[in-house]
Parts: sequence; structure tokens; C-alpha cells
Amino acid sequence: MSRAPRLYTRLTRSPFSVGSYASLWQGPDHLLQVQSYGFRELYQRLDYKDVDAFVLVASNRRKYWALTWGSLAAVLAFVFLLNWVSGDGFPFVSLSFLVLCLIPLTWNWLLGPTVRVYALTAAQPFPLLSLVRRRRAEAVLTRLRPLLEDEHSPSAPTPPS
Amino acid sequence: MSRREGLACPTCARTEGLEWKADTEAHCVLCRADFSLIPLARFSRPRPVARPQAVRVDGEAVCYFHAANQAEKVCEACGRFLCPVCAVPYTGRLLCPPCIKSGREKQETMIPHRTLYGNSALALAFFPLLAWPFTCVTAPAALALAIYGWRQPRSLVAPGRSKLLLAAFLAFLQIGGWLTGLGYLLFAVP
Repeated sequence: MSRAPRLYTRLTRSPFSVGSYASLWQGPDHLLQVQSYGFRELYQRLDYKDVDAFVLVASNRRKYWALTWGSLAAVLAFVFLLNWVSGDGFPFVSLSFLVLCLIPLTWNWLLGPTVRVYALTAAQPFPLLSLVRRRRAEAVLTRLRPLLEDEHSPSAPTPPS
Repeated sequence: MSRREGLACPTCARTEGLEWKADTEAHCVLCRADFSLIPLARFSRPRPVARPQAVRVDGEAVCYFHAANQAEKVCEACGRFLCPVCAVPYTGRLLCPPCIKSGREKQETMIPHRTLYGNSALALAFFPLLAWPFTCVTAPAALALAIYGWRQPRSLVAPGRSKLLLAAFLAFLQIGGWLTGLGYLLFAVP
């Protein structure tokens, strides 16, 4: 028996968050935002026809993550140096903890600046919760733009009146 | 006033504090947010507004919901006559508000939420292992949930049943462990 074709294509993965996860999916004529709370998923849909523009607001998410991981790395680096200069052999355990902390710090830096993205509609701004990095957001919006412009074009099929 | 000038800050929703640095770059002096606008082609075009013909014409059909409005459209689900205010374009069809409400659970493109039985069953099968005596209750419950969830509607975006299978497998192992232990106590211990 052949499987039914998937209706949605994933655009973004869930950014790290506590308690809930949001992801964005491309549908045939709408965007689907999925908010998952572990045992339940909520679906929000945004028709391509309703989107007038996108707004990218610079956010401090990257700074906060850098501060969190940076502080932890500084403490671990201090512990590592203390162990090293105390002369009881090379502190591999302290170093491994430090490296474990430096990986997310570097990863956060490499992912680039953070933003909050809103799709502007005639009614209200619709927050796209899973787009949190500017580079990723611009890539997704570049991918979506031709679809949206096609839907807005006068030749696009409209519901029968 | 152009559409850009009437734009509200997406963070604080106020229009009076925006300072435009360039065509698409702005700063809100009230909430100190910097943002970039990515307009689509129709952003600057005026939007058509649906208005009913308020004057009722004798002999013509009227809207099912607004007796004062002349009907101009028909709901594609129930066939009610509708004025342009009540005819809502929804997922490629023209529907009336009650049909949108009643059809939400039937069409895949209208479903508002889904319960993830796979996650629930897996959590019920896995987490009680940390306090294993509770598994005598939670393992059968996890198995029952996995069986119940097998026929239930699944996630729209990840519709697999692997978590249900894993939960059932874990629950079987735990039930098997309990049965083996009980059997040992009953028959092997003198």
C-alpha cells in the first residue's frame, strides 16, 4: 500500500526553548506553525494570500546565550587553570568540561545574530516563533517569497464567487 | 498616508515612535527595537475590502446571517446564501463561519490541535523506570495508551507510529519483568 504524500515540508527546526517547541512548515497554500508541548501539538496557519510583508526585529537572544555559556566557560577555565598550576598532573576532567561549555558558546556565535520574525497581515503581525536567527530567517523568506508573490499575482486562482 | 507610514512597531504595537533610517530599516524610539521590513509586491497596494450591499432588493435572496444584506455568495459546504462579510475564503474555499467551525476537525488543513499519544505513552513507559516500583501500574497504562493511540489521529507533521511501538515494547518488557518476578516468588521460592 503506498503512503499518502506528505502535505507539509519542514522549513525550520525547533529552536531551543523550555517547555514548548515551535517549527515552521510549508503547505500547499499556507504556512503551518506547529507549537508542541510534548503531549499536544497546536497548529496555526497563515495563508500565503494574507501575508503583506515580513518584519525582522533584532533580538538579544544571542547575547543572553553568549552571557550564559561565557560565564560558565569563564568559571570552568578558572577551575582548569587552578588545577593545572597546582601541579597534580594535567587536568583532563576540567578541560573536558571546559570544552563541553565552549562548544555551545562557539555554536551560538557561529549561528549569527538573532531576530524575531513577524509576518504582517491586514489584521495583525503573526509571530513566526521558530525563526530566531537572521541568516536562517532570510534563507526561509527568500524561499517563500516567490510562492507568496505567485499567490498575490492577479492570475492566481481565487475562490469561486 | 502610505502603508509604511501607518505601520505599527511589531514589538510595542505603537505607530508614533517609528523613525525610518532607510526604506526598509526602522527604529522604534519607544521600545528601542530595530527592525527591517521585507515588503512583498502588494504591501504598497491598497487591499480590497469586502462590503455588503446594505440595501436589500425585493425578490432577491438575502444573507442567512444578515437579513438586511443581499446575498452575493453561496457557502460551498452547506449551501447557505451569504453576503460578502460572511463568505470567508478559507483554505481555497468560500465558507460561512459555522462551517469553518464545524469543519475544523474533519479536514487536515483545518485541524487546530492534536494529542500526541506516542509521546504520552513513551513518557509513561520510560520515566517511571526512575522509580521502578511504580511500573507495576504505569507499564499496563502505557501499553493501554499505546493500543488506544494506535487508531487515533496522529501529528500532522510527524505522523509515524515509532514512539507508540517503542512505548509498547518497553511496557511489554516491564510487564514481563513483573510477571517473571511474581512467578519466581510464587513457584520457585519455597
